This record gives sequence, C-alpha cells and structure tokens, in this order.
Amino acid sequence: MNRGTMKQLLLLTDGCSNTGESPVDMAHFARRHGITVNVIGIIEENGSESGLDEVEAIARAGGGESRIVQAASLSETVVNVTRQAMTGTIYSIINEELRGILNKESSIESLPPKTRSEIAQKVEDISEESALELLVLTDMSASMKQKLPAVKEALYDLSVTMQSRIGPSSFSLWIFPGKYSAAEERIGWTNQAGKLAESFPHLVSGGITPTGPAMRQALSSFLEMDVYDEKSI
Amino acid sequence: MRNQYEVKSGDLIKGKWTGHIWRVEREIGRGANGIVYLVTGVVGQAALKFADSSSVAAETNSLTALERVRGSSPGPFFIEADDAEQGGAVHPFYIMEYIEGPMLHTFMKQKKQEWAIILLIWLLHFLEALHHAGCVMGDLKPENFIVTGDKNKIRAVDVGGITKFGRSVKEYTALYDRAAWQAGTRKAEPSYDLFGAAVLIAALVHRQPVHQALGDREALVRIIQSSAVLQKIAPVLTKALYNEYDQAVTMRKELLYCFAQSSSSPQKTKRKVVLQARWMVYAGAFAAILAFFLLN
Repeated sequence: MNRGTMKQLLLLTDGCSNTGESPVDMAHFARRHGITVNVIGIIEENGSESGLDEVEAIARAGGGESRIVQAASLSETVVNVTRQAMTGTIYSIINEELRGILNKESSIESLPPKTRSEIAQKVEDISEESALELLVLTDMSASMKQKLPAVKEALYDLSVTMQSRIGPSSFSLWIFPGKYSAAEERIGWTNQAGKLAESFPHLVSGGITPTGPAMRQALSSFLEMDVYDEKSI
Repeated sequence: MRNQYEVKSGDLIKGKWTGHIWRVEREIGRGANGIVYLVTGVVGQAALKFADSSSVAAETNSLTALERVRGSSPGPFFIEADDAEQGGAVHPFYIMEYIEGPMLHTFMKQKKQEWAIILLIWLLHFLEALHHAGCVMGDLKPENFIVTGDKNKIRAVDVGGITKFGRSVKEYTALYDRAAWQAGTRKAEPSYDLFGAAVLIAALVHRQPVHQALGDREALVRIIQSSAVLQKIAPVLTKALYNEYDQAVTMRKELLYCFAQSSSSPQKTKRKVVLQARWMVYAGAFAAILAFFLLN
C-alpha cells in the first residue's frame, strides 16, 4: 500500500440491502485494509428515515462518515463527507499514535488546545496535499430513479472540489446492481474527475439492492494488486 | 452536532485548561458545526463557540491568521480555546471577540436598496484585507458578515470557510459558489471571493430571481443589467462574474469610478427617477469622499 494515499469508498443508496452478504461486514473488511467507507442515505422529500439504520452501521464499521439527506442537499453533503472522512482518517492515525505514546485512553482531547491547533494545521496540510483514491458506488435500483439527476449533479460538484485540491486524486465509478453481476464498473480509475458526472448513466437497473455483494466487487478494484482474496474476507 | 453541550442563560462554563469562568447570556448563532453564545468573563463580553475539537482547532488557526493583518482583524479577535467538562465528556470551545451589529441581509431590510452598492464597497475592503493575509473567505453568505456600527466596516463572524490560497475552498454556500454557477473552479484565489461578492450583492437586491437563476451565469448577468439599482455598476459586477478581477482593490476602484460616473450623468425626469437621482447625488458625493479616503 502506498503510504501517502487515502482510499475511500463512497456508497450512495436509498434503502436497505435486500440480498447477499452483509454490507456491514464488507465495510469492516474494507477498513481492515485501509479503505474508509462513507455512506450517504438519500431520502424522499418529507420521507421517513426508516430502514436507513444500515447507513450508519455501514459507515461505523467502515470507519467513515454517514449522512441521511434529501436529494436536494446531496451535492454539499458529498463534498463535506469526503473531506471530513479525509481529516477523520488522519486524526484516527494520530489518536492511535497518541495511545501508543501516552496511554490507552488518550485522544487528541487530552492535549492542550494550543497543541491541538498545531496538529489541526498539519492535518489540514496533509489532507490537502496527500493523494486520494475515491471509489463512488451508486445504488441504481428502481427506487433511485427520481434521485439520479441529483446524484449526477453531486458527482459534478465533487469533481470540481477534487480538481481544486493540491494533491492528486483519482476516481472510479461503480453502480449496482450490475447487468450480469452484483456491481459493475462504469469508469475505471482516472484522474479526470469530470468523467464521473459525464458518464453517469440515466437508467436504473432493477429492483434488488445487493449492497454487500456490490461492495465486495467494488473493493476488488482497490485490492487487486495485493490481498484481494475471497477467503480473507 | 453529537453530544452537544446545551447551556441556558445564566449558566457558568468553566474552562478546564485556563480555569476561566464564562457566564452565558444568550445564544447568538447556530451553524452546521456548532453553537455560539454571548458570554461574560473577566475580559467583558465575548462570543463562545462550542464545536468538535477539529473545528475548534481549525477555526482557531483561521482567526489567528487573520490577526496578522495590521492590528485590525477582518474577523473577530481570538481570545482563547478551552474545554468544558460535563459528566466525563469533553466539550471543546473557543472564545472570540463579540462583534455587534446587523448581518448584511438584516442591515439591508432597514435601508434603501441602493445601499447594496455601499455594502459592496465595504465588502471589497474586507476582502482586500483578508486576501492580503493570503486567504479567501470561501463562504460569502450574508449571515457570515456583520456591519459594525462605529466604523462602518464589514467583518466576518464565521470563519469556517476561510481557506489558504491555492487550496480547495473549505466551506461554501451554493448560491455564492463559483463552481455551482459553472463559472470556474473552487480553488481558493481572490477571484473566487470576488465572484461570490458580486452574487451576494445581486442576491441582496433581487433575492428570488437570483436564487432561480442559480447555475446560469448568463441569466444572472441579465438580472443585473435590467435592474434599476444595479444597472449602474453592471459592468463591474459582470467582470467579477467572468473572473476578470484578480484583486479586490482593482474591483473596488472600478466600482467607485463607475458609481461616480453614473451618478453625475443626467437622469430622465420622471418623478421616481428624480428622487432616485437626488439620492444618487448624495451617494455619489459620499462615494467621492469615500474614494478620496480609500484611494489616498
């Protein structure tokens, strides 16, 4: 693994997985391999948040951020979640180090505010300058139909922010369910963020939501070079 | 907003690190990442913001960076950062100068619409100082600014979006965001703020139409050009919307020039226009005086 690269999987979905293995387990697996999993649950206007407990559970297992939003505020959420997960990743590394040096309960809060500010400066520098690999995995099941324009816009927005970063970023877009498998790759790794929105499909795929299997497949694109092996999951 | 430390007026907040005690007067603001209270301590009135530790640390850095601007900060002066402990949980907060005055949109409610132009001049002053410190404002929504009574200045009260040049803007609101108008990148550079400032002024005068135009820069330019209030400064706003200014000072000078010219040119003699013209003469005189001081 390249030390300076932050790896994130961003899952966009509007409901519960209903087939295959648990997405929470897959998120756990991802985290163990240094990939942060962020999840955004998209709800209808005035819709209820029921059935979206899974959203938080997946993100927690994946060490990332979760949000439940209406399609209208998807754009800013996607950008903020990606950003916060980057600083979150760095902070969790720092906390880990602190626990190693000080004691088991230490965290950043046990340092005086002045030191924290100095650390924050460094964290900001690192997250702006380090390389980012971001895989967007989008739910394309039938119920997502109304939300696709918002997803497309959010991806455009994300690409604009990512292109304004100092550090290099690469992107990949996966959708699920795929035609022949749980998920399919729409765009392989590219550093042209613009492609994310450009080649976003307009058609939904079907009724099932195989979130877990889809994550498994998508993760393979991070791991193909090293440990991806079904038995290790 | 998890584990928010909720306090009510009269409560005392004790800083764990400094031992300083702050008495809460009232809540003065609530944002996406924290709550701000008006408090009193040994230094007198101040604003206290609770947020998560990384936001407190980041905003502390932004505030102290601003203070390097020749003594007078475009934002609130930073006082100190501390933690409050309650039931074993740690709640980070920081204390800053309490800036009194109306927010931009509240200010506009009591004034004639032409005041938007004066606000733009003040805002450009603010941006000039900020850019001088090597940062952009990022989030140019009117709630983030206060018109201070004494010196007729604009100062920022929310510094969450302040970003060093060259990076990607930390926080923004779609309406004032250049990228959302498909008019450029989100890179922190002066032209990003100047674009946002132009939208801000247009939105203060024509709130609804500007909101509806979001994403369509051409439509925004048409709104400005057909506006009785903004027509006079339309060339300047348009240039800002096309990223043609790379310094706040250039935009401000052209704005003053534009403003002075339009107010001295003869107006059509409809009654309404006469009133407006008379006002414009006052404003023009004011602008000229202002220009004299500002350009010295």
